[in-house]
Amino acid sequence: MRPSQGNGPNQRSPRSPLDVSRTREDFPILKQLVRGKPLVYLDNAASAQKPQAVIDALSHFYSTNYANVHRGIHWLSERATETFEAARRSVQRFIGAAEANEIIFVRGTTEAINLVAQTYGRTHVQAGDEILISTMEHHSNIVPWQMLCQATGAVLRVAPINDEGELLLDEFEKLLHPRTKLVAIAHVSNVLGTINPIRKIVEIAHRHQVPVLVDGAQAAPHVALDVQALDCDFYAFSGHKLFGPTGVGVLYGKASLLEAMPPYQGGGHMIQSVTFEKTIYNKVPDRFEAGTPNIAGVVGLGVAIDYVSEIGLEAITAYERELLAYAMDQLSRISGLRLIGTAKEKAGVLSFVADEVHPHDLGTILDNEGIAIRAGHHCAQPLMSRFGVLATARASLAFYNTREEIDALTTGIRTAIEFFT
Amino acid sequence: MTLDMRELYQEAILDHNRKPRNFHKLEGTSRTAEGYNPLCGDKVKIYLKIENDRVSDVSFEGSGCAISIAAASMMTESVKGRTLSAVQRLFEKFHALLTDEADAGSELIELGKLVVFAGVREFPVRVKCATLPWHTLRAAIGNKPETVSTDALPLSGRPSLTTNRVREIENKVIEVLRTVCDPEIPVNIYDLGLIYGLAVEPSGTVAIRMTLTAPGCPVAWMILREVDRKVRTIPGIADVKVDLTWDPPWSRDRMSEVAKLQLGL
Repeated sequence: MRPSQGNGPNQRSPRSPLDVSRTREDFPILKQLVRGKPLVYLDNAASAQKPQAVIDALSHFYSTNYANVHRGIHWLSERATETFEAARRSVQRFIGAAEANEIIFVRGTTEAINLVAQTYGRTHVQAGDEILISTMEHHSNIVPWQMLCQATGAVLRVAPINDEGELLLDEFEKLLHPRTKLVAIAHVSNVLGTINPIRKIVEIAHRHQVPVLVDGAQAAPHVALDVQALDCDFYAFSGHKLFGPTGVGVLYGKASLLEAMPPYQGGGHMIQSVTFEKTIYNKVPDRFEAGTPNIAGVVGLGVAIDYVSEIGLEAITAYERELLAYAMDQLSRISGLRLIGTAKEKAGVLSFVADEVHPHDLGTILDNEGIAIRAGHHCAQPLMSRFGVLATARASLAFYNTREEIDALTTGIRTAIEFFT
Repeated sequence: MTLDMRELYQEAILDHNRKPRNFHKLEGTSRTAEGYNPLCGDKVKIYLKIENDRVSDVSFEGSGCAISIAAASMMTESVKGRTLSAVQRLFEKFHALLTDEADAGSELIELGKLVVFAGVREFPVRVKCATLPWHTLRAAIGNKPETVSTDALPLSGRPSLTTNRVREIENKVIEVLRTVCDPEIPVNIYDLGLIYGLAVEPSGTVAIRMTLTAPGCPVAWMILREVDRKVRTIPGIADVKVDLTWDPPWSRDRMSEVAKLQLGL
C-alpha cells in the first residue's frame, strides 16, 4: 500500500505525481500487440481508451441495475435512476457547476452545440445578428452556427489567430458588436493544442453583454475545469474523449439561460403533460433530454469521471505538460518537419507536416510500427487553409502515454522521411 | 523499413512520387477533370487531349499521398497513345488488381508497370488513393464537368432486370434508406432530403447520389458505408454505387413533411 498523504484513507492525494506504469495497468487495450509491435496509442484527441473501471461498470450496470430511468415505479428502475442521477452529480462536481440541473446529457459535444444553436440560437438570433467564432474551430463548432445563420439571416464572424496558433484577443474584441448574440469558441484546439484564455475571453464578451459557449471536447480530459470561475454560459464536452463510453456527452448551461430556452427535441420525458391541444414542457434539464437516454453510457461516464478525478487533473496536467515539452523538443529536432501549433499555452496535441512525406503515408508507415496517429484535416478545414496545408499528421497525448512512446514516434517519423527522400 | 512497407511502397512508386511524370498543366485543351477525396483532402486535376479516339497527350496536377501521386504519374505514362477502349480495359484491370479477391493472374502482363500497385490491396483504406486519378481520367474522357468523388465501376455480364423488378427494387432501396439516420439530426436520410438521385440500372446496379448535412467529418464515410452495406443486402442487386456530392448544398427545405413534423418545424 502506498502511504496516505493526508488526504483521507485509500485516496491518492491530488498532489501526488502520476505513476504512469501503474496508470497503464488500468487500460487493458494498451497491453496488446499491433502488427507484432506494442501498441503506441497517440490518437487520444480522436478518442481516448477506456480504463478497466469503466469497462467493468458497463457490464456491472447491465448485469445488476439496468432498467429505464425516470419512469418505472419498480425497484430496478429506481436503482437505475439513482445511478444515472449520481453520474449527473459527478459531472457537476467535475466541472464545478452550481447545480446538478445545469447538466444536460447529450450524445456528445456535437449534439450539445447543435442543441444550443437550435434552442438558444433560434430564440435569440435574428437577421443581421452575429455569431462570433474563431479560426481554430472544429467543424462541429462551425457548421451548427452556419446552419443557424442560414435559417435566420444572421452572420458568422471569425476571429483570427497568429502563426503560433493563438487567438488574437484584440481582433477578437473588435469583432464584438452590439448585434453579436453569441461567442462560440474552443477551450483547446483539436489540431493546434492551443489552450484559449477562456476566463479572459468570457470577461471581454460579457463586457459587451455577449454570452459564451465553450467547446470543451479537447479540454475536459486535460485541464481542470471550474465553469463558475470561467463564468462561461455554456460548456460542452464528450464522454468518449474523457475515457468514458461513446455516445454520451454533456452540455452545461447556466440555469438562468437554460430555463428560458425552448425544448430541443420533442418526445417522452421532456413533458409535464400532453394533450393534442397543448403540451406543457418539463423543467430543466429534463426538457432537453427527450426519449430514453444513453443510460449505461451516462453511468460509464460517471465512473470515468470518478477515475480521472481520483488520479487528479492537477497531476494529469503536470504529467502531460512535461511529456508534451519532451515531444515538442524531440520532434523539433527532426529536419524537414514543421510543427503546426506552437502556442505558449498548449495541451498535448502535436500537429506536423513533413516536407517530403504526405501525412497519410506517414500514418501508414507509423501504423506499420504499431503507432496510431491521425492524418487528415481533423474536421478543421478552415484552419488547414489558415496554415496553407491540406492535411496534417497529428499525435495526441493522454496521461497513459510515455517518453518511450514519444521516442518510438520520433524514430518512426525519421524512418519515414528517410524512406521517402 | 519492413517488408510490408516495401511491398506497399515499391521502389517505382517512391520514384514516381519524388519525380512525378507529366506533372504540369497541358496547354491547348479544355478537356480536364478534377478529382477530390473529401476524407483526406487529396486533389488531382487531369488534362487530356484526344485525337481519333486515342489519348494523344495527358498530364496532371495536384497534391496527395505517395500512392495517389505515383498512381497518377504512372497512369499518364501507361495511357498515352492508347485508344479509349484500351484505356477503359486497362482501368478495369487496374481496379481488379486493387480490389479483387482472386489473383489477377495472366492479366498482370497487360498491366505492365502498374502491377507495382498490387500491394495496395492489403491496405483497403488506401485503395481510393490509387483509383482516384483513374476515375478522374474517365471523367475527363467523358467530359463530365463535376468533380469525381467516390468509386464507381461498371459491371457487365449480368441478366437484365424487368421494368417491374426495377421499380420493386427502387421501393426496397427507399425503404432501406429510411433506416439510415443522420448522426446530427435524428431523422432518416431519405426524409431529410439527402438523396439527390436514385437509379436502378437494368444490370442490377443501384446508383445513389447523395449529400450530407455538413461537409467533411469522418462520419461522412460511416454514413456512406452504412448506405452501401444496407442497400447491398437487398436481393437482386448486383452492385451499389454511392456518390457523395456537395452540389447543390443541402438545405432544410429539402426535408419531407414527415421530417419537418418529426423535428417540430
